[in-house]
Amino acid sequence: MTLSSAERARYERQISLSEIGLAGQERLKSARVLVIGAGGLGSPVALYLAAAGVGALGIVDCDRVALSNLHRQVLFESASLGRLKAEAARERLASLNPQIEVIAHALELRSGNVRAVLEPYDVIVDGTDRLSTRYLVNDACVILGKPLVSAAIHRFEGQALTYVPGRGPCYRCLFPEARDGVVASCAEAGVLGVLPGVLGAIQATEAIKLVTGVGEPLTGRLLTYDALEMRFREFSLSRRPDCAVCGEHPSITEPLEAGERCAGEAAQALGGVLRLSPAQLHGLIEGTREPLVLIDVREPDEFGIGRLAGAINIPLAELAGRLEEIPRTLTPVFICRSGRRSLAACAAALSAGIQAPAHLEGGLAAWAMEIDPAFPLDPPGGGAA
Amino acid sequence: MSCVVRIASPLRSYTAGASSVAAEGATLEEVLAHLERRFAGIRFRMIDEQDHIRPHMRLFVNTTEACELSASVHPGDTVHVICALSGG
Amino acid sequence: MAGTLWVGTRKGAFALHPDARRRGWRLSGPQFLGHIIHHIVQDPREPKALLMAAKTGHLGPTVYRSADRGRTWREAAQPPAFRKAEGHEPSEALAVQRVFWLTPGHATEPGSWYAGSSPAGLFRSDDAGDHWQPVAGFNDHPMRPKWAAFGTPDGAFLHSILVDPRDPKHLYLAISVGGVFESTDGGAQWTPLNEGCAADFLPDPTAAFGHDPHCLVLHPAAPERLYQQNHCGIYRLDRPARRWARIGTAMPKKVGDVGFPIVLHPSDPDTAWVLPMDGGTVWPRTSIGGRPAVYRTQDGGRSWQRLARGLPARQAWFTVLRQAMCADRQPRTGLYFGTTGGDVWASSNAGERWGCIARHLPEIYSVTYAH
Repeated sequence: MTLSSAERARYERQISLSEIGLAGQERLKSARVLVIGAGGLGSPVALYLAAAGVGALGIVDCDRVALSNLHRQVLFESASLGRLKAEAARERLASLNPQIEVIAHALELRSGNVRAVLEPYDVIVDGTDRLSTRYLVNDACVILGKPLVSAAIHRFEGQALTYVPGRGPCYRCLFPEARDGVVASCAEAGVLGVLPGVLGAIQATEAIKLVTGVGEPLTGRLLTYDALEMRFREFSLSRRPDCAVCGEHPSITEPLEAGERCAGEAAQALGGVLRLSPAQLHGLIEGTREPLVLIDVREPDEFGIGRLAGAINIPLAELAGRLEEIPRTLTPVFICRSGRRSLAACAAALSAGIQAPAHLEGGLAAWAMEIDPAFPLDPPGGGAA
Repeated sequence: MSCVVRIASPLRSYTAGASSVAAEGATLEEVLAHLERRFAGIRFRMIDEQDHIRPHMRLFVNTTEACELSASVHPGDTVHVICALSGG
Repeated sequence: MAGTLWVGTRKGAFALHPDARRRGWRLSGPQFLGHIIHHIVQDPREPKALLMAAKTGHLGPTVYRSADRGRTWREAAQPPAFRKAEGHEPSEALAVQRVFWLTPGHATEPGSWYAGSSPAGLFRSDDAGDHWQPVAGFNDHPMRPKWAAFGTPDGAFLHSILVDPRDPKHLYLAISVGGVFESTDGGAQWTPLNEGCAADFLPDPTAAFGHDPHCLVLHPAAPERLYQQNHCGIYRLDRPARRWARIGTAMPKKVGDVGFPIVLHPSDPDTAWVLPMDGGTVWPRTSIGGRPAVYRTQDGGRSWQRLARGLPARQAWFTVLRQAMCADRQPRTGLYFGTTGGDVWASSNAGERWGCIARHLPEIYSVTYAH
């Protein structure tokens, strides 16, 4: 791919840096970078990456522009009030640099869509203001093998670090837990408007360095910034061998939201019962990574009405005596109508020494609501109580 | 045996707003005990009853992460208490 | 003294103050903005004193104390914490994630309080909440890990700590998906007290524990009478019997008898109020059919009446958590509840008519009255 003369003229000043050159600019042009959050951090990141000529720039944000955003979210202007941020951002960035492609993702990242949204991009930049999204994105990047430039701000302070797959710690290595993310956000604690400008520019710098292969990224380093003292500090970080997502034996193999995760983690800490939401079970079945066996503990006549493909039927009352039918190499996932009997089945499995039995929380009723509305639960002509 | 402890902003209500305090101790454990004597209650906000550093908190001695409370602290070192930030 | 309605939310503590005629309510707060407030409780022995169970996102759970009716607060010097586990018992290395429940101790033991935590633990203070110690009889009970094995997706909560007004050594408590437990020796020994309670999710219907009590209450004027709002119905127990009777079967079938809170009349042990929520197969836990209503019994659970005047008649999906409903001691018994949507509703006449007295608060966890 070669640069047009218009492009060469636009990027002349950075092309003239020997470290970038035409080759570096070509790399920027063929790069696809996703910016998560078009807010305080996302604004400067997106502006600078668009200006630098990143060929495809994705913006993820489900919010609308509010008046209290404008002191720091410099991607927007007063005329943008009320508009979807992703859309307003796309317009602004396209007008800054019509040579690039800007893709607006006006959605909220969830476990159900994070893989699909992140997959087409080469580098992910995280500017979200939610701890749970931060962990979701981190986990997705580790699992998908994507570099991630992460930053966070609060009042007059900021932090930044870069994750490169296989080359250093991820966000979870630094802060392993995602429990109950009520760390005050800018909306509650306040933030100096220009603060994210500094951190966002650092993130954009990191993304450009990753794309062009120039310089040393912040891998294995946590950069902190204190605006009041006007001081940067740097801390060494190492990858944790026991990191739940990037460690030697990861327990997180699917990117999940914090709420879904904590149920499982709490259960694991309390004796090894894994509670799976319908979305999680669907993901595991579709992913075919885990060797699973689905055990439906309903009565045979309920099972006869409708079952998940591949499920075997062992009614709860018979389970204790038939547990040895479950091969120990497979993870049993117990299923019933509402999630109560399947939880009891887990209790029985644990007592029999089966490690980490799983169950479908909310049961097939939840599956029918969230995954497959056509799933048959009741006999035709009338519902069971 | 004096080191400096930099206090994460959410904890500054214990130190009357001070972002940096002097402390004594040869290990992190001793430094935290000293802080607790001066600013009662601050330790439990960082370390739980099983002596684990709380989630979302990290302690660094100079620039190196300290994962155990037995980590050594030398005179002139700076101990940093870092909280996870989440704003964007 | 008009009293104060304290509202604990996910983002701080608020207070509602009635005017002289209890028509208008003035909202003050928030105090501790950004903190999660699970419970705010007045000391009935010392009305100026209150305790607040709180947690900031990542700084650990704690208890705040006030000696001036909630104007100012100080943190407990030694918040509830499990004992340090010995090297050989890693499974017992528990750390308090939240202080969830507060109960003032017996009238003859001024300054005594109990607290319930998540993970399920019981703690006691003897100095008005300044220093807390684990109650070893419960926390180190060999059965505790089994009693608290499951819990909810938010963790196993220990709640509804009750002190028999006749005897400081007679205690009850409840654990979500664990059951009701009783001690007659001040907490040194505990036994399950779940006979008669349904637990459809347990393999063995006669299991001694594993049940899911949502809220347990004891009547101060008739302490041999207990009521329980359970995941599987509303129950009543008249001691010394050990078997609960399901009084929720008298509720209309379409409504059912599943909810979180149960509130007793201050002086009449036969009168109680519940707020049923849909306990259907996926447990949405909101007002049934989008029509919020409070149900009241005046005959110990034999019959129930629907009270919904003033509440929205349709498309109103309320969730009211177990600590978010209470009664006051006014002559006509004021009733109050707070929703997870941030609204506070009040009735000045025992539930006959309701009005919304505060809106747009953060998710409400606790609504309690301080006289």
